[in-house]
Amino acid sequence: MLEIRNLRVSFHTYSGEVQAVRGVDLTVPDHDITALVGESGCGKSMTAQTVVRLHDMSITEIKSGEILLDGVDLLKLSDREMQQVRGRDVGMIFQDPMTSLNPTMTVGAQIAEVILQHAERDERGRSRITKAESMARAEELLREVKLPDPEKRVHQYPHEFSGGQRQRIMIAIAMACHPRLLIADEPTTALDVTVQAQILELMRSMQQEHQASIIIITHDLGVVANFARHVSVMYGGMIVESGTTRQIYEQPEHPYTHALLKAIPSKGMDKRRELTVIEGIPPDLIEPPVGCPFADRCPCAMQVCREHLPPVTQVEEGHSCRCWLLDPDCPPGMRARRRYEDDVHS
Amino acid sequence: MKKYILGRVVIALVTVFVVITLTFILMRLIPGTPFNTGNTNMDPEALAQLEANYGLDKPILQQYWIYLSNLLHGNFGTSITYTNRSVTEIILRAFPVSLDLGIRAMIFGIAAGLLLGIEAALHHNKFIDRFSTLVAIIGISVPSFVLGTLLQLVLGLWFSGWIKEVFHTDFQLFPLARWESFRYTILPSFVLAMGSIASITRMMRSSMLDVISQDYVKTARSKGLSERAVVWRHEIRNALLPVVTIIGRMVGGLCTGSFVVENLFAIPGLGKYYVNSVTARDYTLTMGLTIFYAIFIVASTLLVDIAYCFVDPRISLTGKRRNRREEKR
Repeated sequence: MLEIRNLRVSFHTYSGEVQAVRGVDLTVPDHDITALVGESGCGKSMTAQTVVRLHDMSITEIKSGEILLDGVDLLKLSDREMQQVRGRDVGMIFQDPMTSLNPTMTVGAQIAEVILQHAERDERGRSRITKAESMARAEELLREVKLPDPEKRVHQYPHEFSGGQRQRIMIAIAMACHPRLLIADEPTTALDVTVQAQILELMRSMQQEHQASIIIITHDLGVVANFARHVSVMYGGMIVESGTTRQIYEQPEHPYTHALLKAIPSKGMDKRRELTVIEGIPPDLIEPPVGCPFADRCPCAMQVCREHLPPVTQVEEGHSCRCWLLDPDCPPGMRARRRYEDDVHS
Repeated sequence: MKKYILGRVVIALVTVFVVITLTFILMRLIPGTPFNTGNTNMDPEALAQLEANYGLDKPILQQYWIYLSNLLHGNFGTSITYTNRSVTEIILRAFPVSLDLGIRAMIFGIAAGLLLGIEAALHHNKFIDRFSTLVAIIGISVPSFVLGTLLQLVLGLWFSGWIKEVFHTDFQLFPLARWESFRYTILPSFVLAMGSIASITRMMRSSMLDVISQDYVKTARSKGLSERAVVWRHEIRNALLPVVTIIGRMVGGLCTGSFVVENLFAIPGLGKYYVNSVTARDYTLTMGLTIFYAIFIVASTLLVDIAYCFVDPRISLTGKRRNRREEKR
C-alpha cells in the first residue's frame, strides 16, 4: 500500500519558488486503481513523480512529508536505494508514447534492459539471467501486452510501431519486473479515442494479473469513470475531494468536482447547448492564495473561503472533501445555492 | 542498398565532371599563361614555341577535349612548373603526408571535441561548460596561422629554451618544423584539429543537452538504470547522431591538406603544391589536384551517408516503401 502524508514539494524557477504540491494526503490501496484528477498545473504529475523522485532534483525541493510504500519511507532512501525501487517496485508509464522510447534501441533491448538491471545477482555481482534469457522474457512480455508477431517485433525499433503499440511496449517495460505499483501519468492523453479504451483495458488486465496497484493521473473524468475505483481530485496543489468513484460521481461535494463533472460532454446531450466551462484560471502557485485555492472561480465563494483554508471534512466512510460549505456553521442557504447553481446550468 | 549506392556513384561522377569543366574554364579565365604570368620579358617567339609544346596554342575546345580523353585513360598529365614530374607522381608523393596529418587531426579533434562536449552538457552552466565555450570560441575565431605561430613561439622556442637551460639537453619535445617522428606531428595536428575540436564540442554539447531533456531519458531513469547506463546507452548514443554528419563533412577538409599549417611547419604535403600551382598557372597540376580533391570529398561524403544508416535505425537508404508496407500488415 502506498501512503502519502502531508507532502509539500516546490520547484525553483527564475520567477520564484513554485509551491506545486501543498500538503497532499493520499492513500492508494493494494490491488486497486486510484485516479488523480485535475487540470494542468494542479500538481498531480508532481505528486506522482515525487514518489520515485524522477523530476530534476537540482531545482526541486521536497519541503516535508512522508511517502510510505509498504511501510518504507521512500523520501528517506538514498539515491542508490531509490534507483533500486524504480522499475522493480514502481513502474511508470508516460503521456507521449511517441517520444518515451529510445529511437536507437530495439524494443526488445529496451525491455530486456530493465529485466537485467533488477535481476538477481550472484556473489560476484553478475546477473543470474543471461542476455538471451532476458530477450526471451521480453518477447513473452510483448505477447502479454497483445502485440502481434512478438518474435519478429522484439527486434524492431520504436519507429516501426504506432502510438498505441508503443504505449503497449511502455506497459511491458513498466510491468517487466512485476512492480507493486504502477504510476501512469496521462497514459491515454496522446492516443486516439478508440485506442484509449484498449490501453486502459490492457492496463487493467495487467494490474489484475500481476496483483499491482495503479495510480492513474488524468484530466479526463470520462477515463476515470470506467477505470478507477478511487478518485482524488486535485486543485491548486492540494487534494480537494477524494472518495470512491461512485461517491464522487453520484454525490460530489466540492464545487470544483461539480464543475468538472458538468464539463464532460455526454451522448444524450442537447446539441444546441454549449458545454459548461469553468471561468477563470487556476491560482498562481508562486504566491498561492491563503484561503481555498478555488475561491476565485467558485460560484458559491463566501468571505471565509478567501481568508481561511477550509479543513478536510469527512462526508461519509471513505469520502472526504475540503470545502467550507460542509462546515457545520455554514448557512444552509449557501448549500442550497450550490444546488440552485447546478439546476441553472443543467 | 545496391541500387542506392549505384545511384549515388552516378551522381558523384556527374559532380566530378562538373568540377572538371568549371575548373578548366576558371583556370583559363585567370589572366596570364604558365609561361607568362604578367611580367615576363621573354622573347615572344620563344614563348609561342613553348606554348605550342604544351599544346596551349590549340583552340580551347580542342584542349578541353584532349584533356578529357587523357583523363579517361587515367593520365593527369605532366606538371608544367615541376618539369618532368607527372601530376600522379606528385599526388602519390605528397598526399600520404597530408592524409597522415589529417587523420591525426581527425582523431585528436573527435576525441577532444566529444569529451569536452559531453562533459559540458553533463555539467551544464558549471566551470567545464564555460571552459568548453571558451575553447570553442578560440578554436573558431583564432586563425590557424596565429595559433600555429603562437604555439611555435611558446612551446617550440621558449619551452625548448627552458628545457635546455634546466636539463642541459638539445632534445626538443615540440620541434618547430619538419615531419620526421611522432614529436614533429603534435603541434601541427593540434593546430589543424583546433577548428574541428571547436565545432564538434559545440555540436555535441547542444545535441547532448537536447537529448538529456527527452522523454526516453526519463523512461530510462524510471527503469532504475544506473546513471552510467543512462548516460552511455541512452544519452550519448543518441546525441552522437547529428555529430556524425559534421564529422563526415570534416574528413574531406582535413585529409586533403591545409596550405597554412603545412607551410607553417614545413610539412611536405599537398597544400603547398596546390597553392603554388595556381599562382604559377600550372594548369595540369591545378586541374589534377582539384579533380583528386573532388573525388576524395565526394567519396567520403558517400561513405558517411552509408555509415549513417547503420548508426541510426530510423534512416534506411532504400527501405522506405518496404517499411510502410510492413506497417500496414
